[in-house]
Amino acid sequence: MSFTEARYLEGNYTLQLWVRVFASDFAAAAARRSGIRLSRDSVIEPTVGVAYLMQNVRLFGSDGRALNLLPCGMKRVNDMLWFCLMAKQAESPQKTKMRNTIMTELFSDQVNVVQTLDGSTRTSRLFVRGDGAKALRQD
Amino acid sequence: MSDFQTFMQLGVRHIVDIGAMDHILFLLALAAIYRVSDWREVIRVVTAFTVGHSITLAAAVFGFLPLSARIVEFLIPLTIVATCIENILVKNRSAALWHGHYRPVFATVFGLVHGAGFGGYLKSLFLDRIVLPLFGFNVGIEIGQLGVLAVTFAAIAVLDLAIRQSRIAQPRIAPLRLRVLAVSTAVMIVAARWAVERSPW
Repeated sequence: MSFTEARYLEGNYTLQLWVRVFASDFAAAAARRSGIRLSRDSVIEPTVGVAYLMQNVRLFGSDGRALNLLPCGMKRVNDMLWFCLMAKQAESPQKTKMRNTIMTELFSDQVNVVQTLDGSTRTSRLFVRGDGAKALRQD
Repeated sequence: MSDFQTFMQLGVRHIVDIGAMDHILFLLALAAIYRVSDWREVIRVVTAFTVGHSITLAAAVFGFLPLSARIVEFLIPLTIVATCIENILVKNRSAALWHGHYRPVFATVFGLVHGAGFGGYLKSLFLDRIVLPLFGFNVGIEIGQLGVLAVTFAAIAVLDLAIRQSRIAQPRIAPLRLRVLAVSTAVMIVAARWAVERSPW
């Protein structure tokens, strides 16, 4: 399972994502995708992790074009890795769609939860293997 | 979708997920001794399991349960093995302790173990505002369990029919007893293997 918190900052049209993943599972998936051998302590380079996320978390505007995601940080909290990604010039969560395939190629039962905060409104979406893009917020 | 609905869906998935058969096998072991006409007792037992599961899930999420995940993962298949052994050993339930109505207590205790397995996992992912997700998750678990039980009873009915038609149960072993032995032995073998694989020693 992974958990993503998407926060829409209306004032500057920015969508900030914090993606939380279990470090060992994520390292296995990222290393496999990059074709690198995983070290015994399951540590991956941040660039490898970010590259994997960029391929597996995609945002699309209402015109269907992919939004440019920029890395904005990474930290380790116990056995979890937290990655920050940011999309500028993003439309509202109702108009923005996400495709989230984190670790679905590795685990058939992988579930990715995305929780969107838009002002005081909080909505959630589930992504499983085979899912396409979904609006972050559906009223 | 609301947080509640999302986590309810997650709870249902947690139970019906074929990739993680722990719950399905435990429900199969619990249900193996019942006839369809015993549905009230089955619902009591399964709800007792949910209560136990919910207690430790909440305790783990709120940090009151410092149990090692490796130990919990090892204990889960042992609860399945213990249920199967109980199924096999107790031949006459009306002559058993409390006329055999101790099973809800049994299910609650084993539910405590199963809940601890997923609690630590949820805690790592959801750091704040956990009450509504947790409630939705538990409702999803109950719905998932009732769904699994419906399928289980359909499968058991087919197995009963096959046993009666093959007449292998006549005259020395009653069809119900034969079914209990067959299902419990099969489930116990799988769970015992998991216990060995997950042994922390």
